Amino acid sequence: MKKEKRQNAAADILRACLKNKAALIPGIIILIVIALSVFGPLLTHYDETSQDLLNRLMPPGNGHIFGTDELGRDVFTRVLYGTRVSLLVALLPTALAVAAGCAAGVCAAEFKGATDFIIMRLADIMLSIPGMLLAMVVLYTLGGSLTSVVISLVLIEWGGIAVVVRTATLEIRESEFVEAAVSTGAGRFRVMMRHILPNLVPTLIVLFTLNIPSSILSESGLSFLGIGIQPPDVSLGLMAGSSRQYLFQMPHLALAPAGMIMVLVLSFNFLGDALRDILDPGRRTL
Amino acid sequence: MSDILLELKNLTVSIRRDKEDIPIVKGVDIAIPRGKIVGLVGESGCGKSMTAKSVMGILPGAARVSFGSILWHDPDGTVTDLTGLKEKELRKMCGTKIGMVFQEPMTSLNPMMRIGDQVAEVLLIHKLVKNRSEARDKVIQLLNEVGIPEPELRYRSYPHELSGGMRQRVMIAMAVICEPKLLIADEPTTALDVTIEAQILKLIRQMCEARNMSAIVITHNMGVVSRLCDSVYVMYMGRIMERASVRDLFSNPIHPYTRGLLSSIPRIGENSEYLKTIPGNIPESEKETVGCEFCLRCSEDERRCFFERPEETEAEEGHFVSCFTAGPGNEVHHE
Repeated sequence: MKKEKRQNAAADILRACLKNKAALIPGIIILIVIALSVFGPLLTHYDETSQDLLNRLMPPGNGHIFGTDELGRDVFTRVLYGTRVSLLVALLPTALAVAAGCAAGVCAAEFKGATDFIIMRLADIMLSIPGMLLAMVVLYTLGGSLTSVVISLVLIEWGGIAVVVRTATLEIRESEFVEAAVSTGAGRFRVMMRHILPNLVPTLIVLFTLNIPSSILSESGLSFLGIGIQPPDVSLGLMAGSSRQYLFQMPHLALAPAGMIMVLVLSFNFLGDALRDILDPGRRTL
Repeated sequence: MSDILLELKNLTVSIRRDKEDIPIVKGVDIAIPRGKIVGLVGESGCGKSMTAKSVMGILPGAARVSFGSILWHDPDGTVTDLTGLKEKELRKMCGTKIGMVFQEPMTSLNPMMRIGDQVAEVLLIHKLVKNRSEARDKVIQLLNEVGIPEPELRYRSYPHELSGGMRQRVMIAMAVICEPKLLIADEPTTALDVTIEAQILKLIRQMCEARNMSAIVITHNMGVVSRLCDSVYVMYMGRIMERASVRDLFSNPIHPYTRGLLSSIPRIGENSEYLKTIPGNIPESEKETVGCEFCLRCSEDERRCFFERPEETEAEEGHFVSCFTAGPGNEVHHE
């Protein structure tokens, strides 16, 4: 019974997504990008790290869709592999940060007093340090790798999410339906699980999708500066960074990864906005 | 077995502000007889909602019961003071023995939950059913009883898909699904239009009669009182001013405040430019008065009201008034 209900709710949302062009188009673009990065090796016969020093800095064409870079590597192949990293960095730390921020925010709002004070001052401290600076400190201490990029992004993002979730939770706690639930005998835990968390979902989805682009951009920025993902690993930001000295001669070297970053960021932004409208039953137009 | 179900004794509710306790409800005595509907009337901010919320233990943050007791009489003769209960015990009573209907049906249902599940939730909380499908059957039966058409279909609706009247029916279903002995209705029809109001009042009446359930109906609408209640308490600034059966109160209102309220009801055919009102405003409640709370707006010209608070006296059988103008030997002497 419960399972059947869940599936139907998911089907409702899916149906609403298919009807809504603002959700459908970025959704399809994101699916294509995911497919490209997953099935990348099947689409190209080049290797992302193999060098061909005789064919350095080739313009697009000649079997290289986006040309080759300063070491003769195929840019198209490298964009596909770089997108993998960007997607991973888009989803994993953002999901972790939303989970951590949500837990912290709900706890702060629910337990009040000292718990609230400690969690919120911790979040304030995190928010008062510029994100890039914080990430640099983490990356210098732990060394540049995918893991340390994930850790630093979670550290940057959880504070802001916790603050928003706390406010939203306080607002929901004051609403009449929570009062009504308490008057029917619902305990604290049940109110939290059945009434507060479901009503936080639209907020969490907006926070999630708004933080995905900033995660992508932060990773790109850190890798561009040379402290994020380290070669021989590939990342879109790293590619944009290493191609900047050829910006005037070979702009496609920078445009290919930058274009992919832009497509990803915009798609997630639009999808987030559309999902928020769909998930709010009050605004749903079925 | 006493015929009293719930008794509020000298109930005082205060709000803590700037390290000072400001009383909102000032020593109220109310007795709810079994199977009767009791009205609690008064204007906004007089403390009627606070009185009801203190019974359910859902007073907002800064407010608390500072004095007095709320006594629940079980049929076997045991008496429980709800103010002394632990949070967990009180939550167990709410829903099973006391149900509550709120003022705003638009916001008192969880927008993310199907209405059927919300009603079923109450059964599941108190573990009164074995599984979800049994809960579902019970809920559909009750939705039908509260007058929701096509209950099987409506079970799966979200609150925003229903009208205000329908939502209030769902709220009533939520309040009575565990067969409570007392229903507290906090302005149940204020947010509804007049035709729906009549239907909802009829439904509350039916529910009470079918289950031998008592009810406290909080309202500022004298019309609601006259149609629904058996007896009335008139409240002003946290105090009970007058209490009587509905018939006695409407045929012979004694307290100047009650008379003011009743004469403020506009009548068809009345040809006046202005609606009748009670002159003046509700004074700021922070200022503790020595005398009668109503003295500043009272139509009677009586000096001692400013310095002395009138005791409650029985003006006629079962009709109690807190005013110097009422009761034997307390007649006002006009000079």
